[in-house]
Amino acid sequence: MSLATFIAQLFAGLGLAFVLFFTAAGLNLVWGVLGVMNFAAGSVYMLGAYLTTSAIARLGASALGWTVALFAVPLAVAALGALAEVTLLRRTYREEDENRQFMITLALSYLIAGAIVLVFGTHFRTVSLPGALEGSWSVLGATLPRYTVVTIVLGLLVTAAIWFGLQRTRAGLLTRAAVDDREMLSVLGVDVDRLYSAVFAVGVGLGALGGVLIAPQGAVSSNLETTALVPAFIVVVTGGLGNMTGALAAALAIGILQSFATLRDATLAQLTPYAVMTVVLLARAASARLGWSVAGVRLRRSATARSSAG
Amino acid sequence: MRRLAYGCAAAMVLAALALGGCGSSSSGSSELASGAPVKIGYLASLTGFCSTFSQEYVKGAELAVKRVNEQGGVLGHKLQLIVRDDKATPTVGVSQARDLVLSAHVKYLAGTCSSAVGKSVEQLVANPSHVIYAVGVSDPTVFAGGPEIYAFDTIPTAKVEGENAAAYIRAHPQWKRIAVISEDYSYGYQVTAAFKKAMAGSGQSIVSQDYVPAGGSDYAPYINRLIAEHPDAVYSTVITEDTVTLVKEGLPLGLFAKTNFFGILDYATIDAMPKPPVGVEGYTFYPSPSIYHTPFARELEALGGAVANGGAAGDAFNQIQLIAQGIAKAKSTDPTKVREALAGATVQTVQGDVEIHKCNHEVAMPIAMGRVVGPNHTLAFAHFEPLTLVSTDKYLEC
Repeated sequence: MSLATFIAQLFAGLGLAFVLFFTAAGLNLVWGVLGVMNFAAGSVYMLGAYLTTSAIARLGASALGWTVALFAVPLAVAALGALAEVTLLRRTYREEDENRQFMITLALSYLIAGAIVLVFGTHFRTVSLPGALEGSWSVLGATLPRYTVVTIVLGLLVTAAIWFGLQRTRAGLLTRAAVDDREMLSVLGVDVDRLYSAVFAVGVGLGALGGVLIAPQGAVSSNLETTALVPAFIVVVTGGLGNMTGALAAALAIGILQSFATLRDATLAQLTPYAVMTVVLLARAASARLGWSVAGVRLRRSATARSSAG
Repeated sequence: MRRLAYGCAAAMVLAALALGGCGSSSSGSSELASGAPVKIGYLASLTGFCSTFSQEYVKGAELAVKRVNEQGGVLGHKLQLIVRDDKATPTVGVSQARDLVLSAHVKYLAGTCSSAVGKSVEQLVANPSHVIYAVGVSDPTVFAGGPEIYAFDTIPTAKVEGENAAAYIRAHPQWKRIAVISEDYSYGYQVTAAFKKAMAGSGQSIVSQDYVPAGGSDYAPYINRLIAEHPDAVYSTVITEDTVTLVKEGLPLGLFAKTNFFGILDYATIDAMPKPPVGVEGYTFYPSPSIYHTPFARELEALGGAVANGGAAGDAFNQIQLIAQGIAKAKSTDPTKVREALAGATVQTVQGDVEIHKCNHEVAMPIAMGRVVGPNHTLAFAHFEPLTLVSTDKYLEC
């Protein structure tokens, strides 16, 4: 393998990893705080991509158009997410009815997918990048698409923002507190319902952001739902449920390893996410802790802690 | 227990009699009563894989039925289309086909986008049902049963496609290193196998052979791997929306600048690309009205540019037309007589007049090839120029 190929494949893997992380981070946030496994995450990702095509069609594929779409689409989807949380999910927290939560999010995924077909039709859609992001840079002989570099930079910024938000802000403090003891937080005068709605909105918005970033890479079609959901679940499970640092590490591992595995065998490389998940789960089962899940930003308390808290 | 066994045996005998009696010419006339409609069961994958363009299949079929009926039907019988969702799954497709044959009493089937469904249904209609099945699938094994089969293919098979591509690559002997990129399902494997077989003895080496996941959203690692092999030429059988992903990611990675790219590029797909791969050599067998200026192509334009230039609507149109023309040629609605009339016949399609090969019921659809150019005075969207229509007769072995 030449240095140029190594660098090209590394960047391709990083680009893949960060798009994967956005959806997984959204899923992880919602699961970690609300305890809801959001089966609509793939549909949300797809919705973000489709809304991006509409936004760019209206605003134009200029730098300004894309900047507006980058913020407007996730915010719009987040608002829809908050509405869904208030109207459909809020009652299920008190009842701790996980089956009902599963059914609701599954139904939401079908609703979103059906609405997309009704509004956008069955044919795939495409969207172009601003001229400044087309083309590539040459680095040590490696051809690096400009858009991939931008995706990686955005990924790092959003990851930093998530970490900062959870670790260094009052909202983040309250979010982490809500995981441990929702009732106590409520007694202390915090509007936990509003906090949950905000968390769900942010989680959904992150998923939509992944859709915004994937839209210019290829065709936007109904296939996006499954291409996002399954890998996102794999990342969440591999990184540890509720563990944001673990999810980032898993996304990076899967993205980079899959990219390099493609050099060896393009078909077998598709098994990389499953292989990584299997190895990690087996290792986790063999030893109590791997160390990185304890050191990371952990949202979900253990089942033992939950039961002892009553 | 004994009663149960007798009951089961009786049920099986009755079912066999029902299936055997349906459509069998030996058990009596299969001619429709005067004025009765010719029912055509259409299998469309409305959910699941390829649901995106299955809606277009149905539109093309409905348009063809409407056209035939506006002209008085065929032999005094109007056509009636019955659409069923096969979910691109063989078990569902067979179940729907069986229900159409046994409950709705159809003698003509058409459709499906899935070779797996097509193969399963072909086996159902072969024996003992004797139902004509007009289908556009690429799996050549569906039509390997000889002239006795009741299935008729309306698109070039993967074998024909691969051999035609090999002929093009072999015509450029200066391209020593060839890379192949295909989709990771049966179609991709079959075209690649046919291509490789036809390339044997050419002196040109296949240095890379990759299968990308169908519906994938990131092909950059595959493109990097392909480029790292330094091929002189790349043959791609990545289709429709996956082609968009391949082109969008391939352009900045230099796929088209660093290699001589040759692949399947239908007009609806390259039209949808913000930046079509201008200068690249492409081919398509999709019945696009922009390529074929025939009466049937003009009919398709009523569906709008995007739908008409896609392959699905035109293929479905051809399937219905094949059935209608077969009945007219046979002067009968008996499927066995229609089969005999169609074998070796020339039928009118969107692509013009084409021959149905007697030995395997494959239709010699032409393949359109050319260099991709952007919108110009000829057409307001990306297309092939100059355009060459290649006859596929030579690839249809008998």
